[in-house]
Amino acid sequence: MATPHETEHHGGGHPSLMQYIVIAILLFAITIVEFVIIMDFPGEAEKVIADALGEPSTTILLFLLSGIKFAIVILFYMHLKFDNKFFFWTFIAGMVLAVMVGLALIGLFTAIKGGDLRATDAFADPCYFDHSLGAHGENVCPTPVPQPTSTPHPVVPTIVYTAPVVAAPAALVADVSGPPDAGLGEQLYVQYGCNACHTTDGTALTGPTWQGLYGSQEELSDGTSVTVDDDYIKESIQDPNAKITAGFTAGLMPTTLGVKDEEIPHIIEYMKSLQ
Amino acid sequence: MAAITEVLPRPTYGATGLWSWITTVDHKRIGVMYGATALVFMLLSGIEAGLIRMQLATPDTDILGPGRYNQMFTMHATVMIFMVIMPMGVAFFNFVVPLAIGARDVAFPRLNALSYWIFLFGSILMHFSFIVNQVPDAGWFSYANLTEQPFSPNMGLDFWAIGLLILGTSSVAGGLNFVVTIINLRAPGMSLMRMPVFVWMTLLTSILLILAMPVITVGLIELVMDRNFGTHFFIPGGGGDPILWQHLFWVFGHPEVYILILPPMGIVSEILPTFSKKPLFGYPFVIFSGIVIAIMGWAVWSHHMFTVGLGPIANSVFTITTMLIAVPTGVKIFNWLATMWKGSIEFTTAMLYALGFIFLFIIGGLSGVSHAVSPSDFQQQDTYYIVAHLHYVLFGGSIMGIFAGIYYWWPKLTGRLLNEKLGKLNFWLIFIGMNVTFFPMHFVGMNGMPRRIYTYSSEFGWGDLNMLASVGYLILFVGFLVFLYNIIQNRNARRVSHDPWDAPGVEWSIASPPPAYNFAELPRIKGRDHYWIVKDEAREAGNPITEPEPAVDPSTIHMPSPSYWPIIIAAGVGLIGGGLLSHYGVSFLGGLIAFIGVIGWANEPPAAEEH
Amino acid sequence: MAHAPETAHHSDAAHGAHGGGHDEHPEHIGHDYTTTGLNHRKMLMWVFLGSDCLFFGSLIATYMVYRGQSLQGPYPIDIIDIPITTISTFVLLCSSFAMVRALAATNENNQTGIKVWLLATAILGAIFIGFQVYEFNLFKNEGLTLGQNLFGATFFTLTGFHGAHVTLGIIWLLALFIISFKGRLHPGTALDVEICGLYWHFVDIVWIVIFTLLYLVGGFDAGPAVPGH
Repeated sequence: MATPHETEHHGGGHPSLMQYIVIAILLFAITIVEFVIIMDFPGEAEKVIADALGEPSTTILLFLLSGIKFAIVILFYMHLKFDNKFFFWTFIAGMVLAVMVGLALIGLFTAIKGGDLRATDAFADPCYFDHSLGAHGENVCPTPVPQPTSTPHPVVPTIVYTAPVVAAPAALVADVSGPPDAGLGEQLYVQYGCNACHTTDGTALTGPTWQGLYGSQEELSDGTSVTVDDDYIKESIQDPNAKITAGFTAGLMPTTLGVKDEEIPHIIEYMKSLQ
Repeated sequence: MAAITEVLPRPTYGATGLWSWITTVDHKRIGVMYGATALVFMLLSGIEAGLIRMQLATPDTDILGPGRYNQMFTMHATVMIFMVIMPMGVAFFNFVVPLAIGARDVAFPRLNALSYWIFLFGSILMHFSFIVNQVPDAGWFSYANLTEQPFSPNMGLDFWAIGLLILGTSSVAGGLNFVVTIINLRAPGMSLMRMPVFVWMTLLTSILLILAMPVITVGLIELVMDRNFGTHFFIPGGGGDPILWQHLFWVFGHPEVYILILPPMGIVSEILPTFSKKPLFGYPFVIFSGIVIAIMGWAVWSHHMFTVGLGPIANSVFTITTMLIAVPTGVKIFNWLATMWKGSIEFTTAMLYALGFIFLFIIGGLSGVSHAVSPSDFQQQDTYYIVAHLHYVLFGGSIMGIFAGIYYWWPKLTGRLLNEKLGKLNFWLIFIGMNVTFFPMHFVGMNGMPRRIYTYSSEFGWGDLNMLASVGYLILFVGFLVFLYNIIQNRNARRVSHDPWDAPGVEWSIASPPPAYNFAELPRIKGRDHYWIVKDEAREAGNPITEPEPAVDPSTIHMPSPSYWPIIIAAGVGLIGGGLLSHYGVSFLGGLIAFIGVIGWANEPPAAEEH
Repeated sequence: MAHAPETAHHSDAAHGAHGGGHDEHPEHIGHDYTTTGLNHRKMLMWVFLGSDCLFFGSLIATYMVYRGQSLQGPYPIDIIDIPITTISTFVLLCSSFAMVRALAATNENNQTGIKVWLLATAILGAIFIGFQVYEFNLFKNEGLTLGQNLFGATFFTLTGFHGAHVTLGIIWLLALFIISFKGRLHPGTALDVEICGLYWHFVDIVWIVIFTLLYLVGGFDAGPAVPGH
């Protein structure tokens, strides 16, 4: 807190033109160094410097360099070095609080990933708190594949938090090029979160159940009816609002799921298995 | 650009009637407007509470039905928090703080008016949801993913989110204004450690506001984008995590709790010494515990999320921090009790409310500590036990403190005392009604009655206590009507001196109601209880003070002229929000109006043309 | 500020002219008495910047929490173009330098300098926005939208709100540029330029953080299903 009557005009002056130019050059130089550290150069296959340093040294070095840039700008361009200390502490308080809240959130989310939160697991599994990606994006600590549940979660999302239906990058189905496979379809069913609205046990939630759906006659909201075949399912996935089954509401199914063409046969195969 | 200020020249000072209120930049008038608006919303939200109690009075009832019931508890809480308790606090900031630090106005009078108008338009915008019958219904914390499009397909949540975004703008603007005012506009001699406790709590609340509001702003923006622009911030189907909403909400939400309780704590710290005729016991401890609360308030938010499954480590850490934050609160309570110790206590209505605050806040605080322990919270989470706790803190704490403040500073505002007999009736009705309503909720909660259910089976045996709570509501409501009657009949009350309570604050040295310029000459502050020191010195010198500071010709003191621009910019901001809910063209129009308003604001001459 | 002591305070009353964000307060002891001796408006700006830290802090935290959580591409490594963004970072750093020169020119009452440097700052800011628009378009064409994945949502929200801050700064700079033609910027009103400068430099440091986290460090994040990279 500033003491009363302390003025903002206290000694030291602010930098001269020459000093400002030096500061600007320094800022540019640091940016170039950062650029050089992380770039691949023509003729070189890899990021020479970053790879030589490895992780986490590279990241720490980058944070350090950016921290220097940050400090130079606030101390000199924004005069905090020369100005009243009240301004300095006002700004630093906000910044430190923001950083700490951010770090706390990252910490809490690193801990929550994986869904199963029993204490024994937390202490037994060395990867429990670390599902981060390695230096090259590979999964250092594999995340367990969530199994589709036989009893779907009830739709009371406000009170009970159920672990994210799709939590794990490693759960993604990598190879969908083979022949239609109900097992792959089941994984996709979980991965795209279909299970949030479509059950496999005959219960109707937000969307129609998949049990016994394939091949059946469905009555539509416009009074017509349609046979559930491959084309109808494909259309319903890619353009969910084109036809709406009687008794259900249009506009609820996301149009942005991004289910790929080659994935659909597997899903259909899975539906066929649910008779 | 100058052309704009020629079309709308700066209004002259001293205009009367409605127009003078619309263009006012006087902190006292803005305070009154905040308070009056908050009272209207308090009535509205109280009626919503009545509907809730009507629905719950007996088992297996279907008066409101589940849909309306959800809307009622959502709006009751949202309105009470954002449109009643917060603006009531700001009403006191506005009316009291400049007077209590010996200033003529706040640092930025037009910004102050802008805060009020944005608050008003934002609140009205949210209430438009009733007109289009798409009322928010996901609770005041609006947990994802219930708030997402598939589960809340109508526009209720958009009204809620955009309304809160606008209210947040107003809060941040107000917070910035009061931080600068308190740091920079204290009268000579008022060092930080001589500031009245209420001013200190205002400073801390303002700091919390400007730091916490941006967090909920980000959460709300992400919610609006999820609902309208196809993102998946909180939608598991797209990889998002609903828990992030809970975190963002409670990172804001817990400082918000202190935003709601610190101003009433400050009010009580002013009232207790006045009516005990003793200085506040352990002033530095009260201040530092306030500072500690404001800092630690940032480290406890996940205690709202113990049952989410954050894991044993996070739950333990937040249990510890939550139990620690009870310590500075306890320090304050002991200081208040010690202030009264051996004092010559005068039981005015304001004092009764202050005592009621301490009594009820202790109960609320103790039940709070019981769910700071995470294992015990697993039992209490989402039951009526929590409802009881939060009402003891927010009603027994905040609202009792606010009533205390109204009774205390009313004679400064109007020059007339509120009727003390009615006041005591008002107090006892509210005090008894409050306990009859909320105390039984501890028991139904422990018996397992969950929150936010619209009805319950008679087999559970919760019927009697719920009926009792509903009866308590009626007592409360009558108490509130007595209060309104007391205000309305105040015009006929007799005038009192400028210092009816023999109070220590510098605000009591000037006339009641205060002149527009507050202080003809800025006071030189002599100590923590400035006016007591001044009065003692005068008494010892043989001529005790009986008159306020003499009035001077207002034209000799330059005061900021009224301005049209705050309401114009606020209208623009309101339209931007309204457009997001209806047609983007309206937003564009609002943006244009706000832009013109900013140009007019920046080019406005400092004072009206002389004539 | 060590230059021209007191003049900043005299100006408001003496000229009655003021730029954006000005507000007046009642007279005080010694004409412009403030308890700390600090200017109201400058204090307001600093406290606001402290508040804005939390705004960007929350947006950045969202990005960091969702880093590597996208269910489908494009992933950062597929589309982030670090060389281009390094150039736009240069541009923003240059604009900060120009801003510093504009304030120095105001303090020296160099009317030509004021106009040149203010305009230069605004134009450099506009070029930065140009780069951003180009980048957004490029990403959109490569399939990254708000709804595509979490990377898109967090990336566009964070950089979009930063861009909005820059845009607001450009409008503010242009307003100062316009009033400089009326002779309203001089050592007496240097505070108007200084406060705008504080805002501008703040936007710059936010970009330094974003550039580090989203580009230098996060720019190589690959999708979960791409083995080996």
